[in-house]
Amino acid sequence: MATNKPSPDWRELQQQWAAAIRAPNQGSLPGVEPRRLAVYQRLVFNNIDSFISRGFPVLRQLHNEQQWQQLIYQFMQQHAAQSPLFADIGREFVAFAQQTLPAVWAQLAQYERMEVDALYAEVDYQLLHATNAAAEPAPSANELLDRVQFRVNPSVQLGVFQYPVQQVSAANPQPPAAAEPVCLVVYRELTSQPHWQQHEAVKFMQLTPLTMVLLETLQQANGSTLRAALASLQPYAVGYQPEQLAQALVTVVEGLMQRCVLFLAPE
Amino acid sequence: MRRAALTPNPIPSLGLGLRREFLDQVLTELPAVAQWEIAPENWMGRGNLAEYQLDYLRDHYPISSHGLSLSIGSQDPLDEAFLLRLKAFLDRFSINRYSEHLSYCSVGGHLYDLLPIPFTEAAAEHVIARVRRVQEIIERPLVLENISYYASAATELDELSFIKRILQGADCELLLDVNNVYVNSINQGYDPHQFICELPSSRLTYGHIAGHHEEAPDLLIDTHGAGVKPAVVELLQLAQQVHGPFAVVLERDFNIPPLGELLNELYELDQQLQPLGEALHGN
Ligand SMILES: [Fe+2]
Repeated sequence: MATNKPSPDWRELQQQWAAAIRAPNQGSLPGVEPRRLAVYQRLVFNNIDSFISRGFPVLRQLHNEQQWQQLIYQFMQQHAAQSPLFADIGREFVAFAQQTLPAVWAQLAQYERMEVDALYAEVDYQLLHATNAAAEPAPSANELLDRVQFRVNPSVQLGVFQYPVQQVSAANPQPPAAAEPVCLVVYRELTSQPHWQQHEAVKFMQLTPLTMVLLETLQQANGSTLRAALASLQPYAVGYQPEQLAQALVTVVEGLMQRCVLFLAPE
Repeated sequence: MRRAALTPNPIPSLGLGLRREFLDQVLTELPAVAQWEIAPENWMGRGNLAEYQLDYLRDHYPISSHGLSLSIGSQDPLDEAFLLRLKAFLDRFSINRYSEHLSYCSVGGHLYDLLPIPFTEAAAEHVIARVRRVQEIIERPLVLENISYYASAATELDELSFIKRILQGADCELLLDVNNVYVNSINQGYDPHQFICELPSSRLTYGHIAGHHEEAPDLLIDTHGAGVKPAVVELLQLAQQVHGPFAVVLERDFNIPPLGELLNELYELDQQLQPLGEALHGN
C-alpha cells in the first residue's frame, strides 16, 4: 500500500481487542471510541452470560447481579474456551467452576450440566431392545440373573457428590457435606419410536451407592449379565450373602428397567 | 398493506434463518420458504432429536449452513478437528453451501462473537491461507460474509479493498449482507451504494438481509432484532440490479415475532424483490 506509516501488527491488535473485551474495567483501545468498544464488550458478555445463565439456573439464583457478572467476567478472563459449539459453553464453564467456586457450587455446576449432557446424548436406538415393554413376557428372576444381557441407557449421566447438590436452592444455598456420598443419575426417558416430534423427558433420581456401582459396572461392561457383575458389587453389600445380594439386585434391575435406566440388549 | 395478496405462488425466492423458537411449527406446517439457513454450531452435538428434526427439514426444503465459530481471521490455530466434524455434519445432511463471517471470534480461546479483522495486508495473507485450507478440508467452497462492525482495528487497507483482496487471493465466494453494508456505511461514514457497486459480481453468490437497531445517529447495531428498513431493501435491489440475482436469506435472531408475522415480512420483501429478479431473468 502506498503508505509510509509502518504497518500495524494485526496479531498485536487482536490481542489488545480481546483483552479489552474480556476485562471491560481496564479495557480501552487506542484510537477506538469507548462507546464503540462498549458495544463489543456488551455483545460478548451478554452472549456468554445468556448461555451460562440458561445452563445453570440454580447456580444463577445463588448469585446477585453483581456477583454473577463478576463470575462471568472471571470465566471470560481465566478460561480459554476451546469448543466452537455453543452447546459446549456450559461444559467449558463446569471446567472453570472446578477451579474457582466453593466445592458445593462446583459440584452443583457438574450436576446441572448432567441434565444438558443427558438431553444431547447420542443414542443408538438400534442397540437397545425397542422398549422394555417389548420384552414380553417379562423375564423371570433367574433369567434376569443368568441369561439376559443389560445395556445402560446411553444418555445416563452418573454423579457422585460430597454435597446434596440436588437440594441446593436460594433458601438452602450451601448445605453441609453429606455423611454418605450422594449418588445421582440423570437420563433421558427414551421412547420406542423416536422422531422429530418426540421431545424426550429428562429424569433425575437419587441412587443407593450399591445401585450406583451396579450401573457403573454395567456401563463399563455393556451387554453383561447380572451374575457377571455380582463379584464387583459384593464389597458394597457388606453383610449380604451372595444369594441374598443376587435377589436384591433382581429387584433393583426390575425397577431400573421400569424407569428406562436399564434396557435388555437385543438377543 | 396488501397482506392477503402476499401468499407466495408458488415458492418465494427468499430463504429464512431457522430458529428453534419456531422450529416445531415449521416442521408441522411446512410453510413456503425458499430455503432454511442453519448455524452448524447450534446443531452439531445436540443429540438425536436435533438429528431427526434436521432430517425431516432436509426432506422438505433446501438447507444452507451459516457458521459462527470458524474464526477464519484469528491468530489461534485453525481448528481442523472441528472442520472434519463439520464436514461430516454437512455430508450427513447433504448441505452444500457453507458460509462464514470474514471476522474472528477467538484469541486465546473463544469469545463467541464476531470481531473485525484488522484491515492489513498481512492479516489478509493470513486469512487467504486459512480459507484455502478450509476449502480443502470441507471439500466445498467457503462463502465469506462481509460483517458489521462498530470500530476499525486497522485501516492499512479500507474494508472494500480488504474484502476484494481476500476473495481474489483465496479464490472464494462472497455472501453480501446488505444490512451490514448499511450499518457499516453509517458507522464508518462511507457510501453504501459505491461499496456495493464495486464488489466483484462473479464472486457474489448469496445474500443476507436483516434489521438493525439505531443506538445513535452515527452508531447502528446489527441486532437482527427488528424488521428490515426500506433503505436496506433498496440496497438489496441495487445489488441485484448491478450484480444479477442471487439467493437471499432473511435473518432474525432477536425479538423473534410469531412465525406467521415473520413469514409475512418475508413474503412482502419477496414481492419487492421478485419483479426485479424476473426482469433480470428475462434479459
Ligand atoms: Fe448476515
